[in-house]
Amino acid sequence: MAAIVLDRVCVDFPIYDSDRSLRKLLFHAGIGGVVRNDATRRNRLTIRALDNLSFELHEGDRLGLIGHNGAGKSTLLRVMAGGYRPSSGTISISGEVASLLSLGIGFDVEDTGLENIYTGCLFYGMTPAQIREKTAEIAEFTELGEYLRMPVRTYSSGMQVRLSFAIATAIDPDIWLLDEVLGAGDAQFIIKAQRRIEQLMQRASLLVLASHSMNVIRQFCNNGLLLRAGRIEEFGPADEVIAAYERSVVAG
Amino acid sequence: MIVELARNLHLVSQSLGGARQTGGRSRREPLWADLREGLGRWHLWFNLAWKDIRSRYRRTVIGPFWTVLSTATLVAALGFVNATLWHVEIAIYLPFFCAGYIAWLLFITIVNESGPSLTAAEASIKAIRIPYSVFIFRVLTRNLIVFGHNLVVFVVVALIFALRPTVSMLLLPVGLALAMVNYLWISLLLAAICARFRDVVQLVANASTVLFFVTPIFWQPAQLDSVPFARSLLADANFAYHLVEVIRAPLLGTTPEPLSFVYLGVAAVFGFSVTALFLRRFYDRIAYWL
Repeated sequence: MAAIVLDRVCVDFPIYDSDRSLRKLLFHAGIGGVVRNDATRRNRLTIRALDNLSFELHEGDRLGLIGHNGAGKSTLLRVMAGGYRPSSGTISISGEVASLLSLGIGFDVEDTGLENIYTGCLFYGMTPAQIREKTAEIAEFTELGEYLRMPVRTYSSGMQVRLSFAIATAIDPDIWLLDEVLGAGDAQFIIKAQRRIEQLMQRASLLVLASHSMNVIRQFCNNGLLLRAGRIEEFGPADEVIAAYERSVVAG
Repeated sequence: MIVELARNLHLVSQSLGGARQTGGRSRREPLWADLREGLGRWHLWFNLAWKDIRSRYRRTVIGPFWTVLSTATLVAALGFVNATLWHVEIAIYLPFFCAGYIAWLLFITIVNESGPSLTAAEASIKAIRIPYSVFIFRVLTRNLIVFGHNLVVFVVVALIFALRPTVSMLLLPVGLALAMVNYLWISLLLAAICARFRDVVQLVANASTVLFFVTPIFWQPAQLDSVPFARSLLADANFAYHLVEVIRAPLLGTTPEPLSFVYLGVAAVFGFSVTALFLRRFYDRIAYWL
């Protein structure tokens, strides 16, 4: 039973190399999280990236994260992936998590594609036996052919997307976290990636996806979460949340 | 109600081997949880350590022989100069310096490479759930491999000067293990502190040069005997001296003083306690420091 439960989750980013001018700049920027002086921490400057989020996701939920740049989508995904621990509040996750939040986790550009498949899979927690079993499948999915025997530094960014995507989707997770990373692939690969995600969704029981493309959200998600400055603005069926987002875009 | 649900889910998640993160105090001790989980990922850190060594010598002609060569050159050069300067017999001085120097290299490279180890792994730490100790074990393993290479230099020196094998040499694995246990907490603590205070990386680099000169590596502790308190200060009380001595003495076929074993044993207990306390307080913050 896959589930994600957030209870009053806050994430505060400390700014260590800030000065007053940076602070002013952030105050007037109007995007991003809420900048505040944390009184309990001797006037240290923090940015509240996620503010008091409580919601639950259960089996079958496919959540689309929507919001402007800096609204907290990626931070929320990283909290769910276990990279960031909440500053306060709790998050409980049951089920195995796989995430594709940034491309090329553990990539060594001097290594060949095949070597990076091995290392990448180890990073995602696979055992060598599992990797051996999956390598052919991953290699085939990348369609990189003989390039897999070349160092990754010779790859174009699109080819690197293919490789990272293939590695990250090789695991059979219960929960799948996906940040908007497909943009760099070519059209043909995006279609292939979408087919892969659909396939994965039949196995994985929970998906959280952040995207600026409402088409992507419509296609993959049944629920939506609209974030604004780290707060939940709208949470519910995808269509309604998308409508709310589009109204806010028009309203500016 | 939500909290209660969360608790129930926690039980489920444990049985499924899933993950749970809390913002507040964790029930488990972060240090042990991280180390246990990190040890389980040995395929990963062994692979990374091996790749580090490989990439260091990529496209070079003689590869790892460079390590051996640079150590050998320094040992030979400094060995001859110092032996002549101090009128010490080369057959005694050179093996002493060589053994001490390779043990010193193990110590100082680990200490210097620990600082940036988590900072360098920022991308993966923030994107997936991975124990920090993976990157610590990577540094330790990488340096053990380099130590293995340097050991070749000592073996050659020992053969040239016909060092007689003794039973004490069997203490080498014991001494090495004791040193490595200490390196584990030093490395972990340094990596976490350096993530927050970037100046510490530079501080450590500075301190290590000074430490090399004040620690009995290229001079013998016995040379201090004429000066009161010098030996107790620079050798007996010096952590670095004992870390070197438990490896150097067995290499030279002598038994380290019991003081060294006691010192390192106490240091390990003390060090792991401090590290545990530090991580209990700051474990959840480390990702934000990167």
